Amino acid sequence: MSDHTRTMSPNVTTGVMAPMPTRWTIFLRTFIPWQMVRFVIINVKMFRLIWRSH
Amino acid sequence: MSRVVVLGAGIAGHTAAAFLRKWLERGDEVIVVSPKPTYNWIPSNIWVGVGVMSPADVVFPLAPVYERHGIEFKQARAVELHPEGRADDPAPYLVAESTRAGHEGEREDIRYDFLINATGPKLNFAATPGLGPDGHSLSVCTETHAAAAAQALGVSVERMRRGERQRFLVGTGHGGCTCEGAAFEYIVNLEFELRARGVRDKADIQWISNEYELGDFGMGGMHLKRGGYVTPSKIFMESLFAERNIQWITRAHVRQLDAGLAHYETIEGPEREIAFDFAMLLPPFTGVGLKAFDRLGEDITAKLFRPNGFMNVDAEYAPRPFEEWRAADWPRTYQSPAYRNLFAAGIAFAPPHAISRPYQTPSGAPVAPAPPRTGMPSAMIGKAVARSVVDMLGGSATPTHTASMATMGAACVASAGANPFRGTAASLTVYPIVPDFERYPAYGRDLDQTSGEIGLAGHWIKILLHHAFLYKAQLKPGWSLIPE
Repeated sequence: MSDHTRTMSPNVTTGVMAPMPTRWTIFLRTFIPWQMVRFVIINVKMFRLIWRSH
Repeated sequence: MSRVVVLGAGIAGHTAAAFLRKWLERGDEVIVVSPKPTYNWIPSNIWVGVGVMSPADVVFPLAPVYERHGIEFKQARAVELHPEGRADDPAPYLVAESTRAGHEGEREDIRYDFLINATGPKLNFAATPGLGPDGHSLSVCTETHAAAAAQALGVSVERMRRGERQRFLVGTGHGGCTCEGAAFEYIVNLEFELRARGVRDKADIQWISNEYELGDFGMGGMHLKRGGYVTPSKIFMESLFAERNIQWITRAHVRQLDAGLAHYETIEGPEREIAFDFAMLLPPFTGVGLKAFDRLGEDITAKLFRPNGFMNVDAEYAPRPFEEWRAADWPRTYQSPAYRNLFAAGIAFAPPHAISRPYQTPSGAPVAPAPPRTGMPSAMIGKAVARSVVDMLGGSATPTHTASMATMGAACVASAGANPFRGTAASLTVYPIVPDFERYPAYGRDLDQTSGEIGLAGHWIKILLHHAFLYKAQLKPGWSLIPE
């Protein structure tokens, strides 16, 4: 449905059917050693894409 | 000696002018005509809009940069194109109207050998009654709009600190909008800031957009390989919103805004209303309204521009149903089919059609996200056009460089909260921008080069890009080594 605030029954909260991250996933999002690894990996992905697009 | 004129000093125009200057001979002239005296790194406006940056952090004056590099700058608005010149002089020229303080409205004819139209959009707030800073909603499209949004946010925060509840409405202010990604960045940064200021429990945050599903972003969404599945972006966006307790309305056309009340309809149903205390709704775009005339003074605007004001280029514009749209419809050289010395770059070129499937409401209002063509694609188009112009001045009969959005990827970092330790951003890559179902039949895109994840690393990259691209735009030493 397009209008979640009005078409769901009142006792169902918006987004209840959406997947939610686990505590571990949320922790990793700001865990600095892991994010330093991700920083490198994301940059490699982006440079590959930029290289291909140019 | 040749003269190339660039209209506009946004990402596309500024990039084109910088590379023209780098590649052309010193005796050749590069002239930039732009109504604003400053360059605005628009992707960081969302941080101005939540008060974590000031307008001065995202703009700089253009005149000193251009003077240092031998680019002539005219602070003016182009109003007329005369691609055939006059009856007694075939040299093409444009008419510009000054916006410089003390000289407003003064007109000047500027002759050109090649012209690159990179004017960007007109922010068409008038399409929805009551929309915009002169009406009942805010915007982050310019640094001054964003600063006003930050100020209004501060007022709302003070009210929440006094115990009042506040209703925030963020998204698109018309069914034909683009830039849903910028609105997404704003809503998640807003939520982050409200948490940081300790008032999140007093805020109801509501998204409203013309997307068929969350995560469409005007490019038909995307699919990502994650956790052993190929998953649509809708799932990730719904998760992000649900995690932040943001409610959403999609497939919507905002019909009108009154003070504190938005009237909207969706493709499924009748008109509804939603109340707000604070609304940041982006406007739809049109072309800037350039007129064109032939050598006899006859109006040929319809020959050069689409009805929405964007410029015709080498795209396939014949109207066809969504099922028959092809990646090959998209322009490659951005040359006008009418005049070989006329190009359009960035938002100023007319896309052949949308990327997302268009819908309409029962009353006939469009719910059709327009294709995004900002940021990286704009810069790459500007650079390719500049190279073609240089080569054509050197003797080539046709444009030599291409930059089709159907063969180009985009890297995008969407901020979800600005803090060096607790902030996050969604880092996205997509290839190609325009899905190509002939090359990639299943999903239209190369899934090995289409990716997305959210985390602190993305925020670091966003900060890095902010500084790197402002450095590049100021044409400081080594600027051309930073990729677009």
